[in-house]
Amino acid sequence: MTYPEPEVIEYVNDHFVPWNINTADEVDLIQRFDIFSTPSIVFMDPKGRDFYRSIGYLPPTRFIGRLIFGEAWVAFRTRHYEHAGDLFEIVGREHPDCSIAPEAIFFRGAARDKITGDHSNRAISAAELKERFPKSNWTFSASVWIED
Amino acid sequence: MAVTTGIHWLTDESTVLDAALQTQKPVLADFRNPN
Repeated sequence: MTYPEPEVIEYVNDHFVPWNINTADEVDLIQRFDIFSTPSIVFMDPKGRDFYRSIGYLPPTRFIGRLIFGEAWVAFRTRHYEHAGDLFEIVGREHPDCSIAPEAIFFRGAARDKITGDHSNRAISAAELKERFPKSNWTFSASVWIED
Repeated sequence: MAVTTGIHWLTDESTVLDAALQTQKPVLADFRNPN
C-alpha cells in the first residue's frame, strides 16, 4: 500500500487538497473525467482544471516523485513558472529512478525560460539530459536546444 | 505541518474546490475501486 507511508501522507496533506472518489459509487464523475483504469490520480488546479494524470500503482518512493511531478505540472500550466521549475528540479535531482525524471528535467528548463525569456535554461537541461539520460526520448527532444 | 495520522480525504466535489480555492493548493483526485 502506498498511502499508509508517513512520508506520502505528510506530502499529500501539506501540498494538496485530497479528494477520494470511490469508483463503485461515482459513475457520473467517472464519465465526466473519462476514467478508464484505476487507480487513477488526476491533478487539478483550484478551478478544477485537469492538468496531469497518473495511472496505476507505484511504490512509495516512486509515488512521491510522481506527486511532485503532478504538482509541478499544475504550477506550470497555471503559469507559476518559478514554483514549477523548482518542483521539476526536485524530481530530476531527488527521484532519478522515476520514469518521469528526464521529462522533469526537460520541463524544468522550459519553466525557467518562461521567466528569463531566453533559451539558456533549456540548454542547461539539454546538456544534463545528454549526460544523465542519453537514451531518453526527452534527451532527443531537447537536443535541438544545445548550441553547436 | 507534519501529519502522520492519515490523509485528510474530502469526498464532496464542491467542498474540495472550495478548499482548493481558499488554500490555493492543487487538487489530488484519487479515483480508486475499493474492491
